[in-house]
Amino acid sequence: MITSQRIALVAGRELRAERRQPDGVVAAVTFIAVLVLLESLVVGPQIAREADVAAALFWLALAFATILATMRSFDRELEDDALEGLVALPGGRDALFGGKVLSLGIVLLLVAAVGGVLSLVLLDLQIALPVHLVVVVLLGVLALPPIVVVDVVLALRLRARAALVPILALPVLVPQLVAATRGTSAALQGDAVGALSWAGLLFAFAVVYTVIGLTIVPAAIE
Amino acid sequence: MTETTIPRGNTLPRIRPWLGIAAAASFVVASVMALFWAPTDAVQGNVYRILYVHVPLAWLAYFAFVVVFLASVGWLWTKNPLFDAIAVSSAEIGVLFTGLFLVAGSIWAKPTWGVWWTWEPRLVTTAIMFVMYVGYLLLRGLSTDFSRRATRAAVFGIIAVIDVPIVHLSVLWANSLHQLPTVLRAGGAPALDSSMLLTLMVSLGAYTLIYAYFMTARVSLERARQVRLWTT
Amino acid sequence: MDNLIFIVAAFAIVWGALLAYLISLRARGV
Repeated sequence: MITSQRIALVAGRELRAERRQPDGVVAAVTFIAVLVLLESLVVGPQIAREADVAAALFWLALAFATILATMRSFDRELEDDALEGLVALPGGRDALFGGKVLSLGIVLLLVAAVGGVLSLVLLDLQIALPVHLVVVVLLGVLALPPIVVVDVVLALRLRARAALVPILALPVLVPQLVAATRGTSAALQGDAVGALSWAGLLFAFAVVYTVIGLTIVPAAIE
Repeated sequence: MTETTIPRGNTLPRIRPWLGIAAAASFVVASVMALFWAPTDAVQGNVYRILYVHVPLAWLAYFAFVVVFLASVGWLWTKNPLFDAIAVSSAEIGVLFTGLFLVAGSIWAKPTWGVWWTWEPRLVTTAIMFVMYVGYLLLRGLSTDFSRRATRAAVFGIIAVIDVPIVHLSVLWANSLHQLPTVLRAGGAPALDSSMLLTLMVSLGAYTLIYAYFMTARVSLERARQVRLWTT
Repeated sequence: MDNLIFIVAAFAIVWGALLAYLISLRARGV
């Protein structure tokens, strides 16, 4: 069985588990909804709907949502003790990494959609370039799971992992956050060239992060 | 899982006292040169002297980070505990140097530019690097099993170091879209004349020796700990 | 002298921290 088939298998299993017990998705979606609401209250609706501010808060919320969802995904493994079995198979670690990243990506797209729609409605956001916005969000979401998955794996059996994972992940994700917020802001304001440039960078970051993850994951998972 | 044998021994026991003396001596010379011998700058006055500490610390902070990377790769490849000892030692000293570099830089910035901090790409990248170092040490601090801890730390160390240039580029590109304050464009460090350059070189040498001395001491300490805590 | 306090502060902090680290190494048993 080749790796891509295994990755699809793992991803499928993840998504089915998520559907049965959607607490990971629910937590992430609720989290982003709360944050969008909080935005308006904390900085005032005038400032919250500025392109730069809305973009920044959206992506920070999504980064934390990624951490939530990933930790929940691995908590399930710990509860079921399923990790050893999967890892024992040849190519198992790559498949585990790939499958988790893929399923988390799909979950995050859902979360991003909800957060996006909420922002649109609650903040009365003006979107100049909707297609560009979708491209930026798609690529931005792609770049989030790889690093977070590695960090959750690293912190897996440690006590303070809820605090540790953000500390490990967020600095490493700075390039993604910078590109995603700038790209989103550009798409909201009508800067097509800007939006596409940042989208291109996001794609590059997604590739780099995934390659790093795939290379290092065999060493990280025991 | 294979047993990791932890050999005993002091690291470079004969060199270390000499290294210490050399470090101390060059440190004294460098400090005297920095504070008194080097000329006063025409533009920045005497405050620029802080740079004689700030610049070498920066250099060594990044160097220490690279050493963490190399030692991390070494551990993953060979599982030799010496590499783990080198990694944690360089990380600890690196955190120290990076923190001091940021503090000294901030103290220099205030009288020079009027602000304690600017969002200049190099500073931002270094601040992020500092947080990564701290994360690295936290990750180690929370682990209990020797081999797992070394592996976890090594993996994160590698990710962190590869990421630093990417962080720098992304912050650079983001900044180029904004107007940097005119204060920054006026320039950073003063133009160097030969005596200033000499002082800087001597300072660089002194801090490199200090790093080397701290490293031998810290690695030695770590090796002793490895023996004490992980052999029955 | 101009900005003396800044110069003194910077050098004192750096020297102090380096010394403190050295002492901590000794204390931990090197």
